[in-house]
Amino acid sequence: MIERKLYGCIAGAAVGEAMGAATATWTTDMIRAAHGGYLTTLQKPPVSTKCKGRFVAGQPGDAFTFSWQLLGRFVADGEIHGEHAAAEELLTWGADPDHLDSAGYVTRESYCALAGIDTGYRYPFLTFDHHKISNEAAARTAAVAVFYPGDCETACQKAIMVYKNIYNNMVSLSGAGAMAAAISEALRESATCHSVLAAAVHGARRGYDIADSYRAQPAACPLVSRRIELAIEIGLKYQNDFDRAIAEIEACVGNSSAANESVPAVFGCLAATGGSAAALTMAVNLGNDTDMMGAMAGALVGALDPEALSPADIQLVSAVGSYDFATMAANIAHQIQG
Amino acid sequence: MTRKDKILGALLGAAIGDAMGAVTETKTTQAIVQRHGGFVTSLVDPVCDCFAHNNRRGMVTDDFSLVYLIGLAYIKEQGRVDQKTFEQVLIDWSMLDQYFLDHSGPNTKVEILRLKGEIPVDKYAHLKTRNHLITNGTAMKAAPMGFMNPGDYDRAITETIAMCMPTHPTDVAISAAAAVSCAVSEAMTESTSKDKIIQAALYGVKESCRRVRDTAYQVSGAKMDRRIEMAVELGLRYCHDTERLLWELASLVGTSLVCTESVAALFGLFIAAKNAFDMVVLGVNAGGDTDSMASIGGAIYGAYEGPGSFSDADRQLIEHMNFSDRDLTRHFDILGMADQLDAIIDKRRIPA
Repeated sequence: MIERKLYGCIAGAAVGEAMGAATATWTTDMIRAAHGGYLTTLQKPPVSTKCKGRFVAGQPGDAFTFSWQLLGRFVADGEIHGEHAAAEELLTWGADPDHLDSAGYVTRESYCALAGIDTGYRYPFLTFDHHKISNEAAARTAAVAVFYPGDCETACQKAIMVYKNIYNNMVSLSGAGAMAAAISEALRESATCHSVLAAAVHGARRGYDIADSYRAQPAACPLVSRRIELAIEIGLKYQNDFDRAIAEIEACVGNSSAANESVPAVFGCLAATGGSAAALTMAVNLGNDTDMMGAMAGALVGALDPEALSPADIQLVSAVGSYDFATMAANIAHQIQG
Repeated sequence: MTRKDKILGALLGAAIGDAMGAVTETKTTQAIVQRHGGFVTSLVDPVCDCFAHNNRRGMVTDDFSLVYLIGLAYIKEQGRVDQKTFEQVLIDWSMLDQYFLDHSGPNTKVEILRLKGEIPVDKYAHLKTRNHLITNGTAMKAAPMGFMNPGDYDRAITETIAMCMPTHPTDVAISAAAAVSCAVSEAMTESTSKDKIIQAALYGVKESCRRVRDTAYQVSGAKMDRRIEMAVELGLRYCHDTERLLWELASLVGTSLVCTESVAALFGLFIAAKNAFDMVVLGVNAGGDTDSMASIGGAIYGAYEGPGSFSDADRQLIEHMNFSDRDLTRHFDILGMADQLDAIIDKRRIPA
């Protein structure tokens, strides 16, 4: 069972990001106009999206390509140890111009800092920095959390240890904590949507505290945990109204690349749909940072119920990127049980 | 209270809020209290880890310097302003090193350089949206469109849209600015109330979005009206518990430079504030983009209440420390500006 859940989580992250790439940066109106309704299939992203139309249908972007490389590293190492694995992998991953070109702001900044490239950053004197509160750590957290099914605390601690050097911001790492705890819980055999949502709120709080203990850079920003609570409240309120749930989550919670908007929004999608495949549909149709929300929602939906994902979608993404999800899941399961 | 008093109140609120908040910008409320031994309640020298670290006590930043230059433009053009007027204000402002070098916001700076032809490539040209153009750079300079149009929301919105288009041509940024200009416009009327001012802000959001539906970029993201409603609800619920109010607004609505956070949050502070100076103090200590919240909120409350709660010594210090030219020879003259702007409002009412 765990191997199948691991498969669902990893494949779901890839499918979700690939599906969301076709709508990234668009408004909900633009998405519906272009697709005659909600997007539910893997499509080639148009030029007017984040990837500038360079991706083919079924191609995930920076979050999954980096996560896949990191998964390979952890499997090869036989464990997750040390604080420098992510930075070392970022250096080799970022050396590919195609990867870096599609990368989020903080990933690119961190790569440049590691590679000794001057980015012209103007504010090194700030103690509090709002510029680095992105969801990039959260969207890559499945690569760590899959090694700790049913152990939310360790998943949180490991996710933040792994990412603190490249996503050194308390809000960003709080988002990673939320995703780590939620994925860890979703991988537990008896997990429910409700238990995953509770784990997310707890994980956001733990993530914030753990990041603080590492003296991560603070930012004067809304808390991920509070915004998750708001998103869940909205999702539950509009459980029977897909359109209204999307509109309310976007209007009140937000859908940007900030970890305190798109990470909570994903949990709003889960709450509104009971954690079914519709959560992924909702995330990729919510507008703006849909590829990252797709990656996060896909990982959660796939971990909760691997059969909820479309086998055809998984097959296409696997073929496009030569991703052997089944072997990866088997290797991780072997390591966990080992 | 005279109309001139209300204009002066708005200008003083914007100026003192900006200068006082420059000291606390970017920090959390907790960090502000730790750093300063309590709330900041007066004009003090900035600390080293804020954008205004090169400033001295009483110096303003982008917020009020732009308001001041817009005020000068209204005077120069005798109230006949349009988008070209506001483009020229931005270009003139970019020549003032004391403000532009350290205090230009991320979007304002790029768009001014584009106006001047110094940035040839738009890296977002492939996109249909401009989801990043949602900072509060429009709202921070929208108060003049309000106090120059007392009670006339529709003309305030027209001039607000003209002011926003050169740097932040998105529905969300424009709606944030229109919320401010309509709030100030309503605050300038005699029989107003806090409730009417909030309703004016919400009208500004909706009406400006309607008007720019086909002419500005649509943003995918949080909406100004919903976030203002959230902030006002918190302001009403926690108006007797300042610490709780600041925490609720910062942790849920947000106080960052994103307009759907700080511009929304300041309406929660406005509802709870006891007077114009209290509004400024709340904004200064709310964390995040404190100078903008204190400046915008100060302008709204200053227009509502007049200059009574502001200190003359603070005005004199700000006039002494700030200049409208790059050679630092022309001191700000806030009293004189209020006089001249008030006279122009009457002239604008006479049909051409």
